[in-house]
Amino acid sequence: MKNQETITAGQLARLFFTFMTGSSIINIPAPLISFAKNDAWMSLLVSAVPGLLLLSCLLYMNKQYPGLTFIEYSNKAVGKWVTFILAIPFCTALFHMTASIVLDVDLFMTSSMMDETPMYVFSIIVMSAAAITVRAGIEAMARMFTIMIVVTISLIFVIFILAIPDYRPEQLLPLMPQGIKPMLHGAYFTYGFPFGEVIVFTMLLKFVRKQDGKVLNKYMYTSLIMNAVVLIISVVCTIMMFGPMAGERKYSLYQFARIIQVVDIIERIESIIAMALIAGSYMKATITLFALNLTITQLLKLKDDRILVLPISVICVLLSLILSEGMARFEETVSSVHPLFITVSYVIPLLIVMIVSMFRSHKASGQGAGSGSSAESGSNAGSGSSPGSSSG
Amino acid sequence: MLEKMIVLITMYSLMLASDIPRIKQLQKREKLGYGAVMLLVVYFSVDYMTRIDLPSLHRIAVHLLEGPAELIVNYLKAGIS
Repeated sequence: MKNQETITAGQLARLFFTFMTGSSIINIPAPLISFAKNDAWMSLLVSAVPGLLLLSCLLYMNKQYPGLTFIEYSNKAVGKWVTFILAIPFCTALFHMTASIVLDVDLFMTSSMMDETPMYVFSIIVMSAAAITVRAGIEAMARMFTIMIVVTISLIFVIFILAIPDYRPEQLLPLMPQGIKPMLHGAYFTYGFPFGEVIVFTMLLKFVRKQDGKVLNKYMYTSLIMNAVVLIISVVCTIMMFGPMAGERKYSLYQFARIIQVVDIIERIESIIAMALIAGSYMKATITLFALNLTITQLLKLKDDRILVLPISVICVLLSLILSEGMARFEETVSSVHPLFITVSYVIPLLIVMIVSMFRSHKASGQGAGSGSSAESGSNAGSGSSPGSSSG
Repeated sequence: MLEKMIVLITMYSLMLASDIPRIKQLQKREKLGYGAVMLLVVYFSVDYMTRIDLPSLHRIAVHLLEGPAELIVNYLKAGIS
């Protein structure tokens, strides 16, 4: 019998930070500044609030149903057919998210560095690496990504520090020159990416070892707050470097690194940003692929939780290539539709399950103390055995 | 078309070379699950090869949500120079 893989709460929090920050630190500044201009950093503050609320919903459900994933406790709360219906948009969003992350790498590489190389080369390479890592398991992922994210973020911060002589803090002003709407527009965008995506971790919380249950909440909140801080620093530095015109430059952090020059020795260090983007996107794609594989495996109630990794990876590659062929439309919709798509696919299913679970728990406790709450009885049954809940 | 076919053959070969030894040892349920996901792989392969924009859940979702999203974005952009 396969042993359940477990990781510490700290490792999960680092995975969470990696997932939230990995690619967004490069991708967020330019479009956010194009929407919110000088108020971009305030948009992040505003959109972090729903992120924290969603995280609290996740952690509440994890407390109600310890050791279970979203699919497992959804089965207990709302039954298998409603779970299946809720899982359809959930899986669709996960597929689309993985494909978009891969597409992002493709677009970056073909627009900035290797424009003659076909996109499928990068898609296949990134997804192959992600698939192999998923097959290695969450313990391997947690250990590897800890090192990678520390190196990545450190290098990015070194770049921010090296650029200090070129900053113009006056470019941060004025605040809200056109009222609150640009800031809210930016907040709408960053709610969709990355804060709304915290829901993906409903599938990963079960891997935290039981003895770390008490510190998990603290670590996860800290992780999300750190993510917001890092993104705010990234945006503020970009505005101080380029001003509101940073929104006109694609991959503004990449352009940022290009112009850094220190004593004629350190120059043209944009390749560090390229590495950071690829590493961050690879890590995020791996985590998303892991969650997606686990979701589908549990929906189909399969015992072998690794067998679907490669076919799902191939689907994600194909989706990224299909999306790349409709680029104009993709770019048009991604910033406006994505937040709503995330709400419908991730947030609403979780809220439905949470509300039903709370209602049943309240009803059970109202009916008498004999059997305890329905959530308790659900979690007790869940921790015993569950056919599709082999480790991911 | 030829290039796309080569890409697909490469991906299928890598995938099946890795999975076939495992599939032989799977139980019936796992084989059916694998088959179901492979159907999706074939579906998107056809879409990729032929570029006929086959319907997908994401396209349907975008189509349904475009209207409300546009309303939100237009409201947020209103009055901004």
